[in-house]
Amino acid sequence: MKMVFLVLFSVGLAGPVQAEELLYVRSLKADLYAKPSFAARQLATFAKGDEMVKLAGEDRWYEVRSGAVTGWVAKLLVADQPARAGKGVIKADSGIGTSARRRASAVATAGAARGLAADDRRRLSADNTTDYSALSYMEGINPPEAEVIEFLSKGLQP
Amino acid sequence: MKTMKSAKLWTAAAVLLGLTFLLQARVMAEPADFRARISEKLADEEITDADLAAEISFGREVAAHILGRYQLDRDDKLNRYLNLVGRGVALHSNRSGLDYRFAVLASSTINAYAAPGGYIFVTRGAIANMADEAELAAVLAHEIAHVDSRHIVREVKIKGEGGSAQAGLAHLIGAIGDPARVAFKQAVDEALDILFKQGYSHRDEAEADQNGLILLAVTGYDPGGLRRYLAKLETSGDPELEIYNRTHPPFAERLAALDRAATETGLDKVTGPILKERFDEQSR
Repeated sequence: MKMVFLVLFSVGLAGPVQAEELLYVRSLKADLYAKPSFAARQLATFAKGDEMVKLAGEDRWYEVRSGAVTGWVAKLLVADQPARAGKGVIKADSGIGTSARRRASAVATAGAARGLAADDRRRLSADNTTDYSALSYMEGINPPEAEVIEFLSKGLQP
Repeated sequence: MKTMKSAKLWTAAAVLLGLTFLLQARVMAEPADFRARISEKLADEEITDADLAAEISFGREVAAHILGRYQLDRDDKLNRYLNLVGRGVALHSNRSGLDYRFAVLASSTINAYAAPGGYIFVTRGAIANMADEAELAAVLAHEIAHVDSRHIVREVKIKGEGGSAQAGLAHLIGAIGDPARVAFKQAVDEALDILFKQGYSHRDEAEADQNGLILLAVTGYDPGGLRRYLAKLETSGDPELEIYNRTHPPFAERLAALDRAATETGLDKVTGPILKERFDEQSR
């Protein structure tokens, strides 16, 4: 009897072995629906970075819980890792931040940020197979996020 | 006898409690380990900053080649408009932190291209066949979906640690010497082959169509934008579709799959703005 009690007591102390699996909103926003359908009743709207507990998954949807609300969110908009920090972190010509799983050496990383060497670029441009001047023009068009959101709001908000 | 039995019982209890604490400690340590294991499991899904820099660098080279093949259309107003629409859609994607760039190509062919790292192009010919902003956003959403799913990076035949093409790319770009340069150039050529000759796999195209559909709707546009655009191209018989037809699955196949996806996601019952006036004002 004592043995049975001890076993039950031990199992109780161990608590839930399965840790909760968190999902993070990666999109600017993600709506929560009562059923796995964009036509279903909308229960809540999450913002980028918000976290929720994954309960189940099917083809294109996760069933999730956030606080007292349970519903369905499109898989495409969430991930098991939060979104990366601001855009500056990942610009092609900027330095690279630290990473727990860094595969490349510092030299490799610097090379990765530069891409081909300047000599290669000059040679390829001379061959008329590339156009870095046009690429610079393209990269120069850089409307800030606030302007993009305002532009969208003007056209798309009811 | 009773003492022996009691001692055994207490020993068993001690062992059980010890196991309990060990188990508890494992559960307490779970968050950090859990992430690490998930990262390993999804090695090709969760990429490092170095991988991402490599992808962007690779994408820049591919983009420079696209711009070498097609002339850039330096219409400031149209390019700015394209970037506002495209970035608006990209903000709703899973890789919303990526710096997406958009540009118009001065070509009468009807096509759009996505280079890794977020470099996206659409031709004048394609824009001329669009009726409204929802159709433009739909085409851009399809291209963003290719980048979001890293279709080209997965396709190029460079394998690094753990068999990941992304890791292979990072290693290759960081490497020094002619062999690495040749291999890098081969990877760029492979990407250009996908874009201009062989096309993406049908599976990747279907994924881009279906994810683009969701992306378009989540941004707030009419989800029917891509369907209307593709249906129009299907019946146009325009000779400027030659490359497009060579590199994409048949329209009928794509439209049928889009219809199935719209029904399955409930988007067949959702409508949204098409913004024809703004499109006409900004693009004509």
